[in-house]
Amino acid sequence: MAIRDEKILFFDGACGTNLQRMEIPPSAWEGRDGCNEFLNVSAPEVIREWHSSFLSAGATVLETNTFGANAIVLSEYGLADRVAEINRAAVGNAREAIRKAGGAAYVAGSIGPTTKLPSLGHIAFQPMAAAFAEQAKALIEAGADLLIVETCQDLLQVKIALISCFGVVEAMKRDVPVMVSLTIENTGTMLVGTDVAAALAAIEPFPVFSVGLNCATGPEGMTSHVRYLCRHYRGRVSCIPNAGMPQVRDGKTHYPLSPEAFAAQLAAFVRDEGVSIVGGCCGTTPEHIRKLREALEGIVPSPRNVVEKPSLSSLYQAAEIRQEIPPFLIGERCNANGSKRFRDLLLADDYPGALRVALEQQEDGAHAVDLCTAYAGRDEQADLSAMVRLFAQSVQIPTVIDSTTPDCIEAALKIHPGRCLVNSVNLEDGGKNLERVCRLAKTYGAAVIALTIHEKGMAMTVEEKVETARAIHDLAVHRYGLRPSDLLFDVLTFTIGSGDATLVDAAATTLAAIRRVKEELPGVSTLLGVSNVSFGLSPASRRVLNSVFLHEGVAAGLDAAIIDAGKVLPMSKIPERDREVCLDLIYDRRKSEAESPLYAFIRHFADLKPAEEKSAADANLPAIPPEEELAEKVVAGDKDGLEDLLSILLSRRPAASIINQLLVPAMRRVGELFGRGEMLLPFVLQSAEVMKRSVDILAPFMEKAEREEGRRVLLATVAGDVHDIGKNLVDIILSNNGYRVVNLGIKVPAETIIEKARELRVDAIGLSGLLVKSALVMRENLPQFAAAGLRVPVLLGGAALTEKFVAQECVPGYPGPVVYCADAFAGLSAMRRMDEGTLSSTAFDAAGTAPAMTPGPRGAAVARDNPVPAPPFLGARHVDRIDPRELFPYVNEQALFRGRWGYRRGKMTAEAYEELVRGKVRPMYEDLKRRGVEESLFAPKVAYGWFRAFAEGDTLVVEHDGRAWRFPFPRQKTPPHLCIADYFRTRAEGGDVAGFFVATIGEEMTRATQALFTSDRYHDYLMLHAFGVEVTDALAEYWHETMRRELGIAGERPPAFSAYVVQEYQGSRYGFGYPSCPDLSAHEPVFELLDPGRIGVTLTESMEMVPEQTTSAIVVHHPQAKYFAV
Amino acid sequence: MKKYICTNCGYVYDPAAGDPLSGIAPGTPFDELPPGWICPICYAPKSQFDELE
Ligand SMILES: [Zn+2]
Repeated sequence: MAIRDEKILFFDGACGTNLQRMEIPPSAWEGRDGCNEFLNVSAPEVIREWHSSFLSAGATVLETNTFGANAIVLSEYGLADRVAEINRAAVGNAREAIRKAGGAAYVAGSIGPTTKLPSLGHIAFQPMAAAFAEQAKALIEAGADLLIVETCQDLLQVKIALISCFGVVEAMKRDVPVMVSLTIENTGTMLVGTDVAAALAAIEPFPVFSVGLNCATGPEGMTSHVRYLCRHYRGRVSCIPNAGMPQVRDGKTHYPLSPEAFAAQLAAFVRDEGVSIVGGCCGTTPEHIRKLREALEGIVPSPRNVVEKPSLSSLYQAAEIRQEIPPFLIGERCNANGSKRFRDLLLADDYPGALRVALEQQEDGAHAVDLCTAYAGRDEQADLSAMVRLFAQSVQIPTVIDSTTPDCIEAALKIHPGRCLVNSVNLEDGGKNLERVCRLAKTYGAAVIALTIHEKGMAMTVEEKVETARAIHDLAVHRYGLRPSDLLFDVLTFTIGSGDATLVDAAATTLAAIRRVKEELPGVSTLLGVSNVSFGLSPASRRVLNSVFLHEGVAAGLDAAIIDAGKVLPMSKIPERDREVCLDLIYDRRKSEAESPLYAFIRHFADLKPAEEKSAADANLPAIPPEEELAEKVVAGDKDGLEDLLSILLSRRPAASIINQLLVPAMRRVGELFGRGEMLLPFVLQSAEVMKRSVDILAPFMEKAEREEGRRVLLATVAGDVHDIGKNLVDIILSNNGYRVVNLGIKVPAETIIEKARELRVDAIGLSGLLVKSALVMRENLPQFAAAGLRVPVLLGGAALTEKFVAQECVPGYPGPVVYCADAFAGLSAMRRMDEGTLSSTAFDAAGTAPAMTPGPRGAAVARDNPVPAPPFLGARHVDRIDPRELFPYVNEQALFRGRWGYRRGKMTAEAYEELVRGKVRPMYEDLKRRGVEESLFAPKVAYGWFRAFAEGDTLVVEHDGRAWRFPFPRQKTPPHLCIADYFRTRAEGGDVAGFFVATIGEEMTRATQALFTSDRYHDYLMLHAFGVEVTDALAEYWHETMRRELGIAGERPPAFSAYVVQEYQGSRYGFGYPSCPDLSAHEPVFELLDPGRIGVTLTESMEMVPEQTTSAIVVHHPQAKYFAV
Repeated sequence: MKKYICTNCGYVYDPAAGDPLSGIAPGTPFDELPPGWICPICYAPKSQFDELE
């Protein structure tokens, strides 16, 4: 069988750690102690014996003992001139071991990373490439069946090794597969900071046999990276882990994973993810490989569902060319010809200053940055090389190498570790440069921008543009070996602002050509230098026209744009009329006989001044009285120029009057708009920020007595509850509507509330709490308040409360008004009724309200003979290396956008809502995801475990380590009378297995959200907090899936997120404190079983988990188990 | 017929499918759901549903 046809390849185990255990005659080292590669020639029998031990364990691929057998490493032992000899001997030793065993196995030539890091400038491209080429040639000549470039720590080293290996393979005309194996540290990146997506983007253009991981950690530590590769790389994926994370015991390195555990973890990657090359790295013995073969007996790798994402990358991260929300923005300002600032910095040899221009564009949201250093009188190659080196180390987004000189392009490609985009090729010279640059792109794995320019000049008509693109495509793909996805076509656009009659349809022509290129050349992307369209027009109007044109381009299929990323206006910020005038110009639509679209455009924008801060929309507003302007600013949530406006107003009326006569009524109007569904919660919070900022500015102009006007409200989240978002929203709304709020924080006991209420003589008390238990705490607090003599109104809010519960269970316990408030505005309205003297307790009319239904599984009795799957292990484990980006696909976007953030469609048209989501909500979401990762707001960790368990009536008994824990679960009081214990077998039925997990995204998110609240950034506070809550939920969803997979009941991945919502999978997870098991006291045994202290999660005295963004659940495998409420 | 989504959990009420978990027959428009109907997944009240595009 050919190697490419083998279903699973079994590599051998460790070299170094096993050689250390073997008896090597001291004389064999010849003074070169530690140079294992030398043993190939000095003690071949030892090496053959090592190979034999793995052959008899069942390895089907032997790696040669040549990890460091290159000139760079061997020169440290004075062996630089014996590279070929040592590699030859090494292949011979492996072959001899195979011959002696009489078996068939493949020989893989091992190529290690050397001791130098080229990304950090330790070594240049050429000497490193020469060393790899020499080794690869010797290995292939000696008969290696494949090469493995392994333990890669530096992305540039990977590329140099691949370019060298493929150079040799091509020159020798041999079909030798080349594997790449990366080493990703437990920090989640390669040694120099590259994440798996960035590495894959740079490697996948090469014709490698497989991409995978080895060393650094055990299999578990590789989970998220292995998943990423299996889901986004079309070729084979390899996994060759250590026997766990090395630990030092008694001064000796020890690898903790037993052969059984190692085999089970690694086999799961084959079974569940489709890994098809496995083996062992440091600490793995022949026994590890034997167990691995046993574990995979009769197993075929799971079929994979690969979604390729053509990407560029920096040294650190990848950027997809096809953005989820196009376009891919390429910053244009690092161009010596296009930007005077950048040119001046370059002319002054101020490279760090020039680098700052790139970093600014990264800040502005560019996905990649263009770099052009060609300028008359300068040495382009020297400048470009120096800048690329700086970019490679300091810029997080990929680099676009902008040059017309192939030598300069090649010099840059040799320096940059990531996957670059080359700007650009065309057919102006008949194709000479095109050939050279396409071949460079092929060799170095880069992508290429192609301009539709042919020998007669720039293509002007749609037909010409498409034909030129096709000609370039055919050469690049069929002759020079690039893939369509490596190409980005710029069909060029020309200004429609010059009045040139031949160019009036230039923009429309470009849009039509983009459409046709996308249709007729499948797989390619399109790109445009957008700002060309508006040359000759005023700067302020250009910004609007460019933005509208870009929007039209995206609609036509444009994928990428070279543009000043900071100057793109979202469509929602461009007034309808401005947009129309732009569209008339773009499509040359003449609206009147007298006036051309261009003249109409110029006249319309005549008064538009260039404005950095203000949007075009603001600049168009006519002057209005300052009183009205302030009210409009509150409603619009606009803080710009607030100080100036308030100082004008202060000259006309006192501060207190500005607040009471202008600001409070404006906020009242905001509340009305919200109440009618005409304003969404996030905008309300922006209005509240304007209010707060205004009051802060006005405070110094008021008397103390004036500042203390207004009724006082005490707010608290009740004892045992750490959730404060609801209470803080009430704080924001009340304090910005003229009430003075005393916010006591979270977990506030009744005694403290009573004490503070008396001391501060508050006019009302507001209690909040998210948990089911908190509703009960509120009910218990009220008689205590009554006994302490309090009579002020008490407002109650929280997710678990209902009007009925408040009216029937809470109102009777307190002599004053007790009022149910569904949200912060209901709280405001209650306060207003109190002011008017019309506030009364919540009443519940059972006759007028239908009882809530009880949805849930119904009908069939719970099957007792459901098979019990075998747990992968028993006991608890802790996982602290989860890449937050793995979680984002599990985020419930609908619940986040519409529910937590409040971006509901309500009365909007479907189109308006789609525009809101596309133009505002989704970009904010993307930005939060990016920031969450960059600012390390997430540290996802999980404590989980599998345990033997059985049902005993309504109680689940969990047994572990000779002890038993009891989980009494409540039973529904109405049919079908379900209880979680029903889903488990009794002891007599043979017992069962239960899973538990505690999952957290860590403390940092709580700190970051708290900081936003205290600095009055209400809008950002809600957005970030809600995002954190949903990512925590996503972690639970992700981990539940992981646990189902461990149990072998995962089945097919649900096709869309909506399938997770309705539990289209086997089994269920029930969160403690939620409707199926509201009692938090179950946390006590859960914490004894899982020890979540090891992932930084602790319990409060009232059994709540800290940090706030933590969730827990019991995992039930029974197919009939689904959500229900007791 | 118009579909509605639960803003709390993302469950979609599709009139064509009804809601078997609550015994709602296929073909029941959202507006004609009984007054006590709640989200079958997260128990949010009807007022928390939003029209889907
Ligand atoms: Zn729901």
